[in-house]
Amino acid sequence: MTVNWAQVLFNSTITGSLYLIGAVGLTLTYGLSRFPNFAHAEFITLGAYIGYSVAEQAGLGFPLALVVSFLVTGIVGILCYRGIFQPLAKRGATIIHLMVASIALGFILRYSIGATWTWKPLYFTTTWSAFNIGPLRITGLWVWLILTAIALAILMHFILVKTKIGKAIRATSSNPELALASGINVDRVILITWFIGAGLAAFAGIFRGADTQIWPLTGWDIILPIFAVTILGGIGNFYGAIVAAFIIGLAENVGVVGLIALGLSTSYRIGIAFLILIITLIVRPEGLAMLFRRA
Amino acid sequence: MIKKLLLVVAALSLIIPAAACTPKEAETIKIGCLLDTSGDLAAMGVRILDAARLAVEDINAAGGVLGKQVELVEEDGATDPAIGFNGVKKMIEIDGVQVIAGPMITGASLLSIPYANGHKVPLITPSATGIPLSEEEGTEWFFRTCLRDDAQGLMLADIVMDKGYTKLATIVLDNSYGKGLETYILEGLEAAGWQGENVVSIHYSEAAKDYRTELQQIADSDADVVLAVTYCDDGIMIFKQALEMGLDEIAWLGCDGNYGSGLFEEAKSAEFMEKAIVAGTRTVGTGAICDHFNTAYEDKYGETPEVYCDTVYDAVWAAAKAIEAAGVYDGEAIRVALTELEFDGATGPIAFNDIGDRNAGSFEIWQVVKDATTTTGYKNAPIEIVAWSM
Repeated sequence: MTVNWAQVLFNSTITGSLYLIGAVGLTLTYGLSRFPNFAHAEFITLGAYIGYSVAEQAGLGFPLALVVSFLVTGIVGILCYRGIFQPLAKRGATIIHLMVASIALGFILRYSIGATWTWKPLYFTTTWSAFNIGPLRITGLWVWLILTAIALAILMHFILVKTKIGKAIRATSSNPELALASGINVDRVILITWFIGAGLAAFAGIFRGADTQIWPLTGWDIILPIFAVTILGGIGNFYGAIVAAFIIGLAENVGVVGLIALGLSTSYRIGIAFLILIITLIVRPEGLAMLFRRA
Repeated sequence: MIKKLLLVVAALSLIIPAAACTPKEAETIKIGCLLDTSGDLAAMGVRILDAARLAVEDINAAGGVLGKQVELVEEDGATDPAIGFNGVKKMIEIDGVQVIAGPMITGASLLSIPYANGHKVPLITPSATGIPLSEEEGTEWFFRTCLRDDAQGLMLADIVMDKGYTKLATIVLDNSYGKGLETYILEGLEAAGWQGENVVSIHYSEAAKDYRTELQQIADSDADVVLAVTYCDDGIMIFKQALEMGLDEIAWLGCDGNYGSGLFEEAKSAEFMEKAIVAGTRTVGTGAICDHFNTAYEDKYGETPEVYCDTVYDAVWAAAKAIEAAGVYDGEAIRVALTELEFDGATGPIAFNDIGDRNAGSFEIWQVVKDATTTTGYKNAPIEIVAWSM
């Protein structure tokens, strides 16, 4: 059997784009607030459901679903930070406390979502055109997903490098005390980051939902590879995340081809991301961050 | 004095809960029912549960069992072997049931059999089709009203032979059900002298949700037929993505796991099944009781019964008839009665052989057709009914 490697590469790009969109928010909030927010999975899920409500239940279409979902989930992100994580941090909570609080928050959000929309899987009915280009099979959704990831990369680069808020985010991330001393409104920077981070998680949720299904574990299904991307890319490092997302996407998809060739179950696919995560933590805990010193 | 009083109080506190636990004469006869009404088989499970409830109604309308009304003790197995096993334990330990209709899936049955053995409670599954369930040691407490995977595998092999396919791709659930059916279709093909080849074999996890690269391997394999052994929710994802990848140009085979209207709830999955699935298999009933069941189910629930609704109806009836024949509500006596039981059920004449399986039954070869009268616009339709016997 000859493997269509062009398609495998393309599929890896789809997977990587999704993980990148999901990971940007996680890596930025992780870098700034200094704890891994496990409820990020539920931001993804919530985004998917809000997108579904706008696009399907209200019938307002896919593009508007992205916008509304970004805003609503972004605000939920701010509320979670202001209502839970910031007060805890002010009372001297350590990374462990904050992490456990985020896991708890995730459970609350997940089951609230389940109670609101039921646990029955939902599906977007938007039809995407499918076409062949050479050896590649492509659908409109995948093009949108990849373009969104590219646009996101360019936009984030521009924001981080050229704008005041971007510089403030980077400054706060690398040294909060110094940033504060230099007159940066650290509190505002963190809030904006949580807003953008949760909003982007909503994007990931909608794309994952449109590609597969929406259910209360939509975010949880992909949170492990997203964490792997965050850690491989170097916590808080946006450029590292871009490279890491595509490495993990490629590893998973090539892994599936390999597993099938070896006669093994493709259930191990998720294990591939996990394996990369463990190896990174052992061999190179700082991830790919060293490659992007300037960032 | 105070010491004595304290002693009395302490003694009382020990006695009172003990007294509360003394079994009082039960007012109903309990039949346990472990079905998967959530998880990947939820769409199928809720319909099967409806059919089990219908059986209890019919049994009670006919006078109940041992002069008492029958009560269905329901637990949800969540399409998860461990949760299903916990349900079985709970029903046996807490509710004290002496016979259970279920579990629904092979994985939960494998876990539950040793436990049911130890507690002497027979299990009657409507839908767990894995072979080891009746062929391994200690499975004499396990009965089934459905037909086994090897029978269904042979049926699928016949279809491949009839249609002359030579390049078979398989995409099956990575569990005993999926891998079992794959093994038996290949064994059936080998026995029939098939000249073809299993060009690609994919074992997938129902948790993955995204099967693009798996499906790409099928496209690359140049297969002329694909066997899909799926449950409902994962089946939807596979068929939806297969449509996006243009795999509807190949012929696909379905099975009992992806029979049912649950798969039509996603429009692309329904469209794909209508276009691509040339044949699927499932156990089906014939005869007077079957007609009664179909009518009663449709009257009560407003839709036609789907896969394994009839077998659960028979499983609950088998439990009731065995309790009546045993004359006592006791697992050991019920098991003996089950081995001697013979009756006409919704799936035809029912009798269990010495390993608790049926010797005969019938399969339906089905396809998916458009039907504007249904809510999804699609329905399963029979191509033919094939009698099967050992």
